[in-house]
Amino acid sequence: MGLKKLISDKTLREYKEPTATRQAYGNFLIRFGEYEKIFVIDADLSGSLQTKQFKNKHPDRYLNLGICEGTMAGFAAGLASCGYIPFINTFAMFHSTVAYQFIFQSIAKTKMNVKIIGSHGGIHTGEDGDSHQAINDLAVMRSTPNIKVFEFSDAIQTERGLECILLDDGPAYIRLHRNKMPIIYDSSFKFEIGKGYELFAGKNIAFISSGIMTHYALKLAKLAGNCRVIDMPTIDPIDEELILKVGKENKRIVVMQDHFINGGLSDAVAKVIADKNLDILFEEISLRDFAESGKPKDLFKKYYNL
Amino acid sequence: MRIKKKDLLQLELISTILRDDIITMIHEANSGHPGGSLSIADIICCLYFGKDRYGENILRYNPEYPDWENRDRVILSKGHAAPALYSALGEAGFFNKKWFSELRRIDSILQGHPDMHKTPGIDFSTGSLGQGSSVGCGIAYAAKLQNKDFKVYVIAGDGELQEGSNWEAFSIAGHNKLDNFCLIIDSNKLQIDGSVFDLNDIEPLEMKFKSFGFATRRIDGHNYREIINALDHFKNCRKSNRPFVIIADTIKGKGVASIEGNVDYHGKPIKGQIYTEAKKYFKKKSEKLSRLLSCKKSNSQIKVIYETIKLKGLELMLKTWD
Repeated sequence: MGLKKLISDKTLREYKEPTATRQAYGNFLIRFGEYEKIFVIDADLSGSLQTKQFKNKHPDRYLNLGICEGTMAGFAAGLASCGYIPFINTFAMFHSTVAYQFIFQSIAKTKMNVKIIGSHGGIHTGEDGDSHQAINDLAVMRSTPNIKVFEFSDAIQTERGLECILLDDGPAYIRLHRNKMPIIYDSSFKFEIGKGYELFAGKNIAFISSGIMTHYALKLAKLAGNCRVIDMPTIDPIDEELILKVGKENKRIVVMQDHFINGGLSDAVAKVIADKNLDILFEEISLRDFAESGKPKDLFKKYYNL
Repeated sequence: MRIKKKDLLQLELISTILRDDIITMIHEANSGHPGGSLSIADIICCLYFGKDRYGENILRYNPEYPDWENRDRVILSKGHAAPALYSALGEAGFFNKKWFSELRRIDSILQGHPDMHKTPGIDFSTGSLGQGSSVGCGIAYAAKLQNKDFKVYVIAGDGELQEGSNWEAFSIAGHNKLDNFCLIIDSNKLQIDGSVFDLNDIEPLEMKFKSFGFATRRIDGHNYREIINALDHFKNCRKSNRPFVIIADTIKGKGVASIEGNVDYHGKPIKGQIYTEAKKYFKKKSEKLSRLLSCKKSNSQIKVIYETIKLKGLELMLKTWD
């Protein structure tokens, strides 16, 4: 069956309760698992990446390679060269460190159609500590040609976003999260690669964020009043048009990211501001160093003052 | 497997042509890796131009259709030996041989390391050591999933085996019984900074591969009989469902006597007197072999003749050219 038809036929489930983006990913795989080109690979983290149900339904297009994230990426590149659309799954941290040699050489340089799914992004990952919190994964992927970079802020956006990514040909990196997040969008939401979404209109501060930070931005915006909140799920290619609009209509941008200060969403926004000579105050809430173990709430208080 | 004397002579002739191409293109580029390209030249020659026990080409390919879905795949994991692969692809007719003189130059289809999007006949891009095997495993797995019977050949260096990622892939190949996966180790004993034995010895290889679930065979990588026998064995008479490794003992720089076994020529082009003498030697040798094979000669060019090969209903025609 044609992919476009399959996507339009498969209705999205109802999302009401707070749901982790990684859970939504698992649901997406079940929804589209019958598409014979999809191949799912794990590196011993199938529980965390919610791929178990896909494995049970489509065991011939599933493989758990064990603890070898780089080899998983190379293996996926080989599969992609034979027409498959592999989804490779591990913690965001490992894609951008141990597996990066393979992602750079065998996926990005060759433009293989591999979807790189990195869960547990940001310090919001919590108790496992700084060895497992991905704090520069978006920078690493953003700095690599040919990889589109995404971070979703709720379950509905995750599923709709993944539909577009599945239709798109070429490497993609998707940062997902460990913890549940409230539902922001409704089922009528239409995702477009490279577009940001205005969740709140206002002339005062314009918050630009993605992922968990969008929820914090919404909270701040409500407190401050007359603020704008832009959810920017596509980090690369970023929605330059929307940033331009914000630059003309607002006096102050605050970028919020659960990511190290260099190379992530804040740099992407700052570049547009510089390139387009926008006259606007630029501030950011970013990580300045490695973090530590702790409850997500405590970590966000200590490292972001949120 | 019995191999006719004529076929051995033909392989020697073709590998002489390949060696000549290799040192010429590196000389033109004034950049490249002669040592590791020359050490693998005989194996590459047998893969692309050798025949198995049924008279079929060892490697299944068609230069007219480089993207043929059911072709055998070759992944040069030791990507710096690209000149060896390019020489075979050029002589087989995947692209015009005029590109040899454009190796490593700007806008060239022949990149410093294999690029699948720039060179017809390159099945996967390589360059950073230690990645070819995992990609090869993925392709071998896809073949099984799609019920296709093509084979995957991965060529790696011995120094390269110091890179741990290889062993992850070998473990996966063994665990998943990828018997359509043939690894070839070009064991020329040298790396950049010295001998493999001195820096970080990777032997005993047969034991290591056996423990990873491979069937193994150790050969002299410059003996055509041994090479063809090993490749034919992989292709035609495997009984086990294990991946296969051919550990080929080779000499770095083989074919150019004054640089054989010389660690300096890993990444240094052959120039000056050594180059001129090597060119003279290859010319003399190929003329002698052509005479023995009763090939027609014109303007000191070599004519190599191939037969029409039928392959599962698809006619694979290899060309005759001047």
